[in-house]
Amino acid sequence: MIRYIIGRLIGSALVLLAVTALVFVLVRLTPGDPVGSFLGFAAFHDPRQAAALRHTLGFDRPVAIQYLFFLGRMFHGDLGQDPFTGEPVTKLLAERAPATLELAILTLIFSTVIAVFLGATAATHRGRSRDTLIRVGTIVGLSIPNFWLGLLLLLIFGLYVNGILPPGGFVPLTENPLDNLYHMILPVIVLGLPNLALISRILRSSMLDALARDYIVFARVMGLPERTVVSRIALPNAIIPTTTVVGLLLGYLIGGAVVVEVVFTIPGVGQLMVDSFQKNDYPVALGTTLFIATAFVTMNFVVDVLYAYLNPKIRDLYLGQLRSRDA
Amino acid sequence: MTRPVRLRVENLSKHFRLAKPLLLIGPTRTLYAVDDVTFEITVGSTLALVGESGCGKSTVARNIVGLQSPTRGRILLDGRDVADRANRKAVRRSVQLISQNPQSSLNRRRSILHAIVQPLRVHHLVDSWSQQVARARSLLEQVGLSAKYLDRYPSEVSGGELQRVTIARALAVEPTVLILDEPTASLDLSVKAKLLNLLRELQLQLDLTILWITHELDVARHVSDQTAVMYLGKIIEVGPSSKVLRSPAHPYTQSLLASLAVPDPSLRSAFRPLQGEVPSPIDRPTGCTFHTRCPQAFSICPRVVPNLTLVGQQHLASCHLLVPSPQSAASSASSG
Repeated sequence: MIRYIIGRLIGSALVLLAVTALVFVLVRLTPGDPVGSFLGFAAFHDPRQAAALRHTLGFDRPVAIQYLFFLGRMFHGDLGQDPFTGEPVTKLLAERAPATLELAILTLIFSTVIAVFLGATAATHRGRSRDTLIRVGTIVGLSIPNFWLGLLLLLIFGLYVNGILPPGGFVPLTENPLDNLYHMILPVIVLGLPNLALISRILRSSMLDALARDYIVFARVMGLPERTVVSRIALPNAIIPTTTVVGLLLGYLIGGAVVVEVVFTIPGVGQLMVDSFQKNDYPVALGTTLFIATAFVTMNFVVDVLYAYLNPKIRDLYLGQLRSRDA
Repeated sequence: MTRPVRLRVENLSKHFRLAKPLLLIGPTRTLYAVDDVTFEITVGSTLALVGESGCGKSTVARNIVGLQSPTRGRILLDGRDVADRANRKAVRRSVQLISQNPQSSLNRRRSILHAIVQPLRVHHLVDSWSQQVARARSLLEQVGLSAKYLDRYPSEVSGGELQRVTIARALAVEPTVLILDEPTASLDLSVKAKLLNLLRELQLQLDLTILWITHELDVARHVSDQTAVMYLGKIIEVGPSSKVLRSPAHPYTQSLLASLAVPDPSLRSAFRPLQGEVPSPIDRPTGCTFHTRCPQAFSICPRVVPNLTLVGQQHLASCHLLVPSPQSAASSASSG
């Protein structure tokens, strides 16, 4: 198991390295640079000032050299500074991360709990009205773009029905936990709906698969109550494909929170990212992208390990490949 | 010498009403999975239920173990109706089902020890954990597996060994009846032979009554005392295996036997193998349901349903050819 984990860890590190290189180059391919946005018209009027600033910020050097410097600093835990405010990028990320993580985790819990219930219900009532209702509902949920749903809910709770749910804003968890959760309700619903739909559809199909097995028949013949058969025997067997999706979703949610954060004015990493790209703010853009990529890769890693734990076959398969490569 | 009847199936019918077709036009259609099936098995003997896929063999099994309830008819275990709530518990213990796919019938997340011990717990048969493990150990031994299998998971064990595990699990609750639903269908030949012998030994040891569902006639011939042949939900021939599977009376059984591979070409049967497909159990042929494929069908067959008639000692078959005159066939059809 340890060998498996180490192998996966090295793989994850390589992926992250590739991500930094890709983003570093891509950001620089966009027209304009931070100096242009920072100086505004002054950059046109005084090219020498612009050149000087470029020199102090290091943007005049070849991209490859810049990248190496960036990597060197990154391994010391330094992602550079925001040229607009002079604040270190790591500090900005640390300020913004809690809101994003909270939103992602709450959404994950919300959508998983409801999806497991819906998926299991649909599978056990296959072909009946409850199943049809859930299937149609999840298709609708998957089809609604979340920015549109966000704006719609904003309109409803901000304009037509006042005072029930706050149409945006954010209260830090440390300040007032209840108020914080209260403000999270709408964003969590908007961000969670498509995921909820996806998870429940996946669970429904793997649940149907599990329910068709003979060990289910055996359990029923033995006289176990149907509820035990479904929750203790079918569900644990059906949950494996779902864990993959749920794990990957957490990574996706941290990235996908961008739109929801902007719509509901939540001061998270997503908002920071949108701002930084609008301003051509290389260091912050790179930092936020790296943050999201790290979240994604980390979750991937956790899922891989969890998967190997849930299903020993996968671990053996992976190690078998390693061994045959050694030989 | 004759022993008492252990399992009796009486006029068992299982019909499924199908969903209305699109736009709800037309009549509700019915699928006749099992239609008026009667047979009995005496204590310690084996009845083979044979027939092509989809003829209703497994539906009979599912009704006996209580997974489905019959549309009509009764199932009696030691003279008591299994449908009675009062008998439910005893039936669940006395009748054990073994299915054709051992990989599917064991929870792959649980060890073999857990699989064997679970029925003991559900039926409250053994108390302490050490007793449970000891029982599991002796059960494995009984089916020819060593105790080292206890800690293994189904994915680590071969198909033949897994089928032994499912047998051990079934025997855990000391049943009197085993329903074997194609127990050897997924196994290769040498493993199959060993399993057949194991089941035979266990039957003698434990005085088990066995309903053996199979489509393999050579297996049926090897293991059974009685054989019942099903076609489209009905039993069309039943009797001692030595009669039914060696000198069959019904054209269908004759054709089935003709399709068997025989090692020696000079011993090939005189009967022709079957042509065509089994008709749908929804739109069954009129009269004798076999007339569409019968090489010997004649005028009366599509019109009149034949009844089971005695053709030898304890040997029944339903075919107009076996009835002395068409008149008697017609009169018996109007009464049935």
